[in-house]
Amino acid sequence: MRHPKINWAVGNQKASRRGINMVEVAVSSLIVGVMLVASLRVVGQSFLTQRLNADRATGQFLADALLNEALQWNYMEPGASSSGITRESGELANNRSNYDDVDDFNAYNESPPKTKSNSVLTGFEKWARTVSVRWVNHADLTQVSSSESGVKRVVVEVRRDGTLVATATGFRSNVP
Amino acid sequence: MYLESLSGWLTDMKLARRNGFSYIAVLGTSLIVGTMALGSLSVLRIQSRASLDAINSIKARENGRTAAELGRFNFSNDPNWRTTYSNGILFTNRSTGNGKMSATIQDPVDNNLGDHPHEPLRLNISATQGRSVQRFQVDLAASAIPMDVLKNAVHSWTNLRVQSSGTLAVYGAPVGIGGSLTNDNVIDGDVSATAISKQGTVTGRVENAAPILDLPTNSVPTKYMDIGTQFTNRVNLIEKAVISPGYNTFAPLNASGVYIVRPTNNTTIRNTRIHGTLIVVMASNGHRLTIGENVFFEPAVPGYPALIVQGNLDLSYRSDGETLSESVLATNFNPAGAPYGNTSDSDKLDTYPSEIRGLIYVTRGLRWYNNGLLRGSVLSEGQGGGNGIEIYGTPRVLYDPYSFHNPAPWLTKQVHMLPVLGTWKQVVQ
Repeated sequence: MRHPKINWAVGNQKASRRGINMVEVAVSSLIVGVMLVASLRVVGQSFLTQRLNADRATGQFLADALLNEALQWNYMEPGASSSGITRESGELANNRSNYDDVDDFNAYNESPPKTKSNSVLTGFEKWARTVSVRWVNHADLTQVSSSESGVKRVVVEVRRDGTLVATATGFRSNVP
Repeated sequence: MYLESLSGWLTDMKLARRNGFSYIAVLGTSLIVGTMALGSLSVLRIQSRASLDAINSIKARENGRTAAELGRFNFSNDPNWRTTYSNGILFTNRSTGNGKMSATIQDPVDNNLGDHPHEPLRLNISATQGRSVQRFQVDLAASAIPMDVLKNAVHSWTNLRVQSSGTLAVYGAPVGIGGSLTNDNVIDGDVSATAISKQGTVTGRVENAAPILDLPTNSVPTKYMDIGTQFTNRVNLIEKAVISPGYNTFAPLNASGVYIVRPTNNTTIRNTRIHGTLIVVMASNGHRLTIGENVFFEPAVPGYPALIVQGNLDLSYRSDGETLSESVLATNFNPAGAPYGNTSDSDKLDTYPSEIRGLIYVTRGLRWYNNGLLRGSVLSEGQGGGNGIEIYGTPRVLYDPYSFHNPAPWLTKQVHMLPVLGTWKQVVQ
């Protein structure tokens, strides 16, 4: 009776191949893990970026809306021949419904944003807008002037949760 | 034995293929996921950049609006801006603090900025913010602030005297006097004088110590001469003549009816119809222009003066009960090219009021005789001293507020350039 000859070499090779297979699985798992982490980070970043972009767009909309409103008004109090950058009697710091010149908007601060008629804009609870108005040198608009120069710069800043997300800058001259 | 070896080899091969396959599958999947992740990152980057560009384009538009505002500021604060910026460049790469802006200007009417202070303007703006460049165009129209003196029916920047034979009647606006009033008879109307030597009889309100009103910044005759057409010959008498934008036997035609006469001596204009603006430049300070008998003057361009005299003027035309009659003077005053009320003809049957309509401007002295009617106003600089205006006759002045609400060029305190509604547009190159 002949017994089949055991091929030990083959058995060892199989064992060896199975060991490599485990390494492969480990490496593969590592790769998959790394890729998974990277993908999650990408997904997270994607959400952050999309929110940032949305905030930027919303913030710019809010900034431009208030800037346009401010620039439509007179350079100074109607009927006055000169005035400082200040509000006149009856013009309130937190209610712009009776503002009638550009510098009434200086130091205006609202959170959440409101319409001109002082109604709160719904859906913007975490947003805030501030305005600053300064005289600037007409020959160099980047230079703030401490006295009447004939040109006022209006800067609107919009924040969400305290973080600055948008600004809008405009200029109003004393030309009617 | 051979078969066993073969079987073992095949088993090895299967195992090897299976192991390799899973490895390749994992790597392939990882590659796909990695590529998708990188793609997503690129998309995010593009989205961020697009968002930033959109914001920048909004800010560039803000810079464009600033350029227009700064341009208007320059126009209002530099009375000579039309010559200052005659090359068309308003400013280049000016900083707004955020981005840059450049602007050029052009005259859309005749491409000549300096020829007329009330012509419209086209403003071309280029504004940048980051990578965004926005180009705009907007038309500006002149909005003139009239000189205060145009509120008066009669104004002398120096003295005014009503002689004992004279009566000055004004309706609708006061008599303004920058010097002193000497009234030896009657002023029928209001008076606003810086000083009063003799008040005489004034039927209306009298304001003494009134503020002195400004003279025009530029020489009015010189400015109008710049847009006028000179007579071919130096005439000292104009009578039975018709002068209008479309008819003038003395000079080539001028579309605005602005004509310049340079007499050599004392000069007379009588029995004449002028539908335009006549500028008479006297040869010397001693010479005088006389407007006599019957005349009918009115400007061709509403708001322009009817008569500008660089020198002395005597008004002695007559209005009461008199007309400028074609039949009497055997002259057709409304030939083709010089219609009256849109009507031209070839007959000599028509009559016209004997009066002057519009503004009369005199640089030296004005003497007023007879009973001429002026529907407008008269201004005398009174250069050379003495009385800027002397009244010998009984003239009447019916003030026309049109000259104040639509001030003549070069009779303005300031000219603002205002954006024309609906002309702001984005320009694509």
